[in-house]
Amino acid sequence: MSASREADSAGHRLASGGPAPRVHGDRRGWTRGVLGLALVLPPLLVLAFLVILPAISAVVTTLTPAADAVPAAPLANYAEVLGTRILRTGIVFTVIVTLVAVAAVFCLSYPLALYLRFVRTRMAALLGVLFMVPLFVPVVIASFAMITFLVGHGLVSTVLYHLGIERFPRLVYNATGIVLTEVWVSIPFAVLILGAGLQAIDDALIDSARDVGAGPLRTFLAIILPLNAAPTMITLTLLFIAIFGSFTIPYLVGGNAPQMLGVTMTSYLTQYLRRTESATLAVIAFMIASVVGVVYVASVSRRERAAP
Amino acid sequence: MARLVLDRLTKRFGAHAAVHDVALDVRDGELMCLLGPSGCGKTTTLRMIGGFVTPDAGDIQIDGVSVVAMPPERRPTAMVFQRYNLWPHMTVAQNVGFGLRLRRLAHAEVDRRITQALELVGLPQSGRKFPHQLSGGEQQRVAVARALVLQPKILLLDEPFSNLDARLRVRMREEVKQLQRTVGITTVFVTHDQEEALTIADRIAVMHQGVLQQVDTPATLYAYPRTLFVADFIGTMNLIGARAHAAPAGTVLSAGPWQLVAAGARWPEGSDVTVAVRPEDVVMAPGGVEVEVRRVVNLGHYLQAVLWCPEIGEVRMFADKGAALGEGQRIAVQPARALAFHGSELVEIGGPMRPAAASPAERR
Repeated sequence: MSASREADSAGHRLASGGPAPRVHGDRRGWTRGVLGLALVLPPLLVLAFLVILPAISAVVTTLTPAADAVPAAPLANYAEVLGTRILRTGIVFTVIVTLVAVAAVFCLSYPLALYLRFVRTRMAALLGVLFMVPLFVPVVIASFAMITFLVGHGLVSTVLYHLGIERFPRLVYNATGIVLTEVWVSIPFAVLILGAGLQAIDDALIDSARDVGAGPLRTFLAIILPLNAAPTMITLTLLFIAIFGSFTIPYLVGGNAPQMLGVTMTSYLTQYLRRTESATLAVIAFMIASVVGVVYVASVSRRERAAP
Repeated sequence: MARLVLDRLTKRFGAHAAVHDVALDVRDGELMCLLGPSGCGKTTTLRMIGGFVTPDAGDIQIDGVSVVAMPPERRPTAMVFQRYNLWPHMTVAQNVGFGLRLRRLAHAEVDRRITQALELVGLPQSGRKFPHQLSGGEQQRVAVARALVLQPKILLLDEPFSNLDARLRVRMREEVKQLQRTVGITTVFVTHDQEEALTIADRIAVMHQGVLQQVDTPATLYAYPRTLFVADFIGTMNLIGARAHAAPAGTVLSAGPWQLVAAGARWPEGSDVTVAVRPEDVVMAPGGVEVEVRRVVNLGHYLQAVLWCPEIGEVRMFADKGAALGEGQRIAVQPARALAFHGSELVEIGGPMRPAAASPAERR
């Protein structure tokens, strides 16, 4: 738009031969530039003052060794955090719980999304509404619901006892509880994104695979899975980041130790009043999440390039 | 190569019968068009042949073997869809070779057949390209190659050119006709475009509201439509309401000012009849009915005139491009040939009686 305007004014200048139109054109371009800047400025300022500056200050804090530190190396805080066994275990625990939960959500959501995309029955229509329910239940309520559902004398235990199974691992206040609750809460989101991706695959693309001789499994592996690759990557990465950074569920449903990073960071910041360790953990968490973020950005940009 | 038989095929969607009792016999090597307005059930019929829709009743036989219980991947049919035929994540060669690789053919054989198929559709250099690098017409050609590479018994085409621009559509339909002749494959082609059907089909099956109306060659369909729907749908037709009168020579129909003798008809006195007249059968004749020329449109090799006829209204007429027709002019015309429809009965009227001779009392 602005390029064509400039071209216009250049043509005008050639015709009239005077320098005046150029000034006019520049001023108009300048006004437009200011207007654009004004429109971008508010969110940019919020981002700068509430996110970027605090983040930089946090990183600087973590790189500043405490006054009494013996080896005054810049990475002393990181060495200390990673040297503390319980924090190290916490990081590994968080990554493992997140990966297991993401895998479980994915394995349950993909078949459900496929079912909702390809089956046209009353049952499918009903499920298409029911799967959304967790989306409308606040996480705190969902967590307490899962606790009463999974505790020692809860529904699951009672059913298992009646079935004659009396010895089974504890289902709540540990990693199992966190995974089960994260799965329950995350399924609607995963099904929505995967389902939207599946919906975008035209029926003709699937029909033509069947037509040349591919059975349902082959059609899924060779056509549907690759065509839905970008939504799949987006789902996996967003699920990872959401579960990795979650606080409420691990806080309410998790055990005392090991704890997930969200809970540990909060404890260090608000209860132990150890700001530096808390910030160091946050930077470590951010670095892990940013690796996944890169995958996300790559998937989204590939999707945009692939779009006609 | 193969013969396709549809035996009283029926498909309902809810209470609505999308396809009702369709029986069709497609001969070996024939190009059969399924023609009808949108929603007439032609695509549903095609999808039943391909195996994508299960019929509620009836049978589909290919070379005498019922395929109705087979899923699409096991049927000896290959389909070209309206659009989104090619898998965007595969190259053209991978698209064409997908079905061959499923059949576990040797690599060299797969490559040989891909090359052959792409040469057949005139795209030998496009194997390494991705679908989005091809034009719409080229994509549809690759889809045809992908269908033919598996050497199916029946080729199914579902409005394959409806998303292309008019000029390309005309070229593609000629190419497909040529290709179909070369390969000699039994083909069912669905279209809503009667011009397309009339130019490429060996025979046309006209459908309306799920019911098969008539199956005939394009020429027969044009000259002898069996139902009022076909008469109206194929080509341009003047439909004129008429009333039957008993007469010694058969039934006389008074269609507006015209008196037409339906020689073979024995219709009750006063019954309602529809007379169908092609614009080219409306001819200038000295003894005809006087009408006013409302509009004259020059269509290149002929003229179309819209006439205003007393008691009837607008009547269309085709005339030689040299004909001296001017707007506002009054001319005498009569139908040289017509078809009269009474319920399901149909009588051909070879030529009109002179208005004066038919029934002088009414005329003058």
